Amino acid sequence: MKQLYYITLTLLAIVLLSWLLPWLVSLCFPQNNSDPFVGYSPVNDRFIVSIPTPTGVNNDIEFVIHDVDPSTGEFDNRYTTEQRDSLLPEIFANVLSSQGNMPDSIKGVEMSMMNIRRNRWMFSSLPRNINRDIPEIYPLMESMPARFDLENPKVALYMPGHVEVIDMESNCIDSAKTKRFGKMFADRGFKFPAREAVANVTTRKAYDNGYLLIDANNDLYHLKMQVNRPSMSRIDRQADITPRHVFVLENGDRAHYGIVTTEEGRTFAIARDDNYSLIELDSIKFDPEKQRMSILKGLFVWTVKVSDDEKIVWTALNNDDCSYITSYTYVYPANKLDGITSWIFPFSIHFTTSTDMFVYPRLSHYSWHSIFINTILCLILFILIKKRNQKCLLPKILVTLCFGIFAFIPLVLIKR
Amino acid sequence: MLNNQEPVISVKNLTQRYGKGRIIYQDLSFDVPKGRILGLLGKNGTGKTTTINILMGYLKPQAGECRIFGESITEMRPETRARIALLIEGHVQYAFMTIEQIERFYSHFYPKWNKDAYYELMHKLHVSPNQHISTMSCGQRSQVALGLILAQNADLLVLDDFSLGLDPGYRRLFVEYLQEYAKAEDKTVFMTSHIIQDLERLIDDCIIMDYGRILTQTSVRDLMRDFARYTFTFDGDNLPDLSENESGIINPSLIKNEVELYTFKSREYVDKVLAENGIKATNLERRDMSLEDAFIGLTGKY
Amino acid sequence: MYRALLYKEWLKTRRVFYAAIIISVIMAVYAILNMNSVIETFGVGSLWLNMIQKDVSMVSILTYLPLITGLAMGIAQMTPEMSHKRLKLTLHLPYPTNKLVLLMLATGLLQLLVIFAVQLLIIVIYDAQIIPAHLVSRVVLTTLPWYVAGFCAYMFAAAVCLEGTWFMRIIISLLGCGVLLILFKRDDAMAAYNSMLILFPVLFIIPTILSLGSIYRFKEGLQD
Repeated sequence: MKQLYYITLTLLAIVLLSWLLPWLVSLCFPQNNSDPFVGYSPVNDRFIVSIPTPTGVNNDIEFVIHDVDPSTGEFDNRYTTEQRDSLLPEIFANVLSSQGNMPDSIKGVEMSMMNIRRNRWMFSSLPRNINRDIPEIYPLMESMPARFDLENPKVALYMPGHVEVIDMESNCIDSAKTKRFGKMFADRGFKFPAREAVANVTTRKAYDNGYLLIDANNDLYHLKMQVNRPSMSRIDRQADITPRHVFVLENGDRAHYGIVTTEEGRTFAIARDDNYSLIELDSIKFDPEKQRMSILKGLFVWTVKVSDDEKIVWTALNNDDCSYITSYTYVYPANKLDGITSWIFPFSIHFTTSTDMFVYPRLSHYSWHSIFINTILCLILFILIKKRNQKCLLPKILVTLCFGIFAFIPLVLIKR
Repeated sequence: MLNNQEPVISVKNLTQRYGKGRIIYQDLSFDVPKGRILGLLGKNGTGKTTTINILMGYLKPQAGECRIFGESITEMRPETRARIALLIEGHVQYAFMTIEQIERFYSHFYPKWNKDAYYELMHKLHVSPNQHISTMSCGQRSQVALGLILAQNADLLVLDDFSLGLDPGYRRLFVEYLQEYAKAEDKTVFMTSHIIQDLERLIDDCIIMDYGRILTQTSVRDLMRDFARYTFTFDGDNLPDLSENESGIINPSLIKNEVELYTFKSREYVDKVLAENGIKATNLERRDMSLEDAFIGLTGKY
Repeated sequence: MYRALLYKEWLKTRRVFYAAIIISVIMAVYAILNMNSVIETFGVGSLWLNMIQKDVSMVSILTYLPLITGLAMGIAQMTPEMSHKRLKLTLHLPYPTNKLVLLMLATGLLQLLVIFAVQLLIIVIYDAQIIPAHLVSRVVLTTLPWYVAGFCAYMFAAAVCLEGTWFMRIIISLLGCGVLLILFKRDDAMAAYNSMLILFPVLFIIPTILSLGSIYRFKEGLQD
């Protein structure tokens, strides 16, 4: 029991230290990685990059602004803030309008505030919104409300292996609706269980596009409830597309039903036409489970930003067909702290990450750099054990060699 | 299984230190035969409670072996533990229990439980059966602890400093009850106390400890017979150190003109030592001694 | 004999048990009244949406209650054993040491189980009236780490109390805090610990070993 007691104490200390020590170090030495501000200029058809740079005075920051040469991907001309505002008239429309510097049109497109607002929408996706426990209860809004204003849903779908419609008020199954929905799902060939069902259930939108679903056969479906009746369509897809995640768009331009990403990392917009045409976002490589995405659609282009912990890629796509125009890649500078800690800590444990909402232990890669410090710690421990006349020399040395400082601390502190 | 000749407690070559420092004792060996009452006497800090802790398995000795009822104390079976009654220093008991609750609790553990013995003593205390032990005085708590020991009807009683915090009345009550019980039931008792006078009528044997060693290990009767206190009048200014060179003279002291010394030796021997040291002793006399006097004589006043 | 031991443990913990069960019920009822008020004001649909989209369990007021209950139970049960080294009395009882310690821990855990079960039952019964079983199970899965934290806090408090040296008490306390920190790492999401459910038994085994080890250390004389 004594042996088990000391082994348990030491192992628990190793686990907790390998979690808390690296966390404490990162807390003491925070890394300030501000993303650059990037926009596509319809004026010179280049990306304009504003990089926040410390001035060295009172923690002030100034923006160093360049454009990017599309042929090389390198910085080219440097601009002042005012010049940048003019180069990005959609983004800085308020500033330009207030100064009276807003052009009437660019490339024949009217540059009025109203036109800009009407044709602009944003979309964003975070991995943590996908990597979480998503309940299999899907509240369903009425897409054609009697009084036009959208109302909170009154029914919800439950799709364990079939579809059930639950009346939210009574928390009971609505048999009539269940029958109707069940028939609709069967008629459309929907294969349970659903792999994903996504909607934006909120009344703070202009209209409702209902749900986009992926069934067990990886087929895409569009479901709405109109006047209390289901309306469901199967979205045709090419055989080489395997949908992985869907996102519903309910933008002011009413041009798209949503976005679909595939197992292969491709991204498509689902056009709001009768055929549910899939328009590929050219050159976009996106994994929603690991990467963040934002799309800013403007008068001229879609600016697609895909980022992860290593880099950010901005891509400008043609408004008409989402074809590729140009891109800019910003690679985050190497984290100096990671370099240092890899020498001190052999590994680390994280219970949470920024990319999901789950808690469980995740082990980092083993850092072989740490062997050097581990060996020194082994020597110190060897001397201490000999001096204290303690037992179990070899196991303690081996454990310290593997687990480094995480084992050294408890083995020194916990004396028998 | 313990036969009748085997001691109830057998301690062999026990060595214990404070950490890695001062020796409490080295190679301590003693036996407590069945039916005897042994008192472990010593000044504060000489290791009395340490010895009890070792015997009860609450302290692993650095060396040596202790057996109780023939079983090693490190592997003592619960059945053997049931034969031992333990009084912890300060009469500690489950203070959150009432008189009635604590009796009911312990009764489940001991097959020879004697409820009447407990309540007989409790009736003398004038406390309600529902009174919590935490609300009792130290004296009352000592009687609860004693009552539980008597009710347990154990073969061996281990009592750690039973007199701590008790006024003379309660001490006397405790001693009388214990004496009557132990003798009548042929119980073996191992006890410590720092108030020696209580033990004089109670214990059969004693071990007197000093810091780091045992001064004597004998029966009380032999101690009182063989150990003597002598006094005489001394005219000189400086008394030679009579306890030097293993002379057998213990703790000689001079107060004004009166010299007091202790020894296990005979009167003739004392005369001889005094003569050898050129001391002219007037009115040399052997004085009557209590156990406490003998204890002071052996251990010194300081 | 085990009944007598259970009786002793009950005498020490009954006040905390009664207080905890009353407070737990009051807090559960308070959480229910809160949900009721949301339903009255915004409709039951709003409550569903909160749970499904915003990961609001509607019982977050109960988050730290099991932890506090566990700590109180551990302290109430084990402190009397350690004051004046009363543990010596317990260890002197003619009962196997391991069984004795496990029985003590089981008594506390059982009482906590009753307290937590009553609270959870109140929530589940109410929730089952207003949300589907699938969502109710998500609420239960969300509260599970809180209750595990309660058990864990109890067991670590017991291990700390049963330990005889202050230094090791501090070490075990720090380790206990570390373990508890894990269980409150993500309180902004529902059912976030689903992947860790399999590890929860370990959180019971570790402090049990520490408690038994502390007793062995006590018996070796490792006490301040």
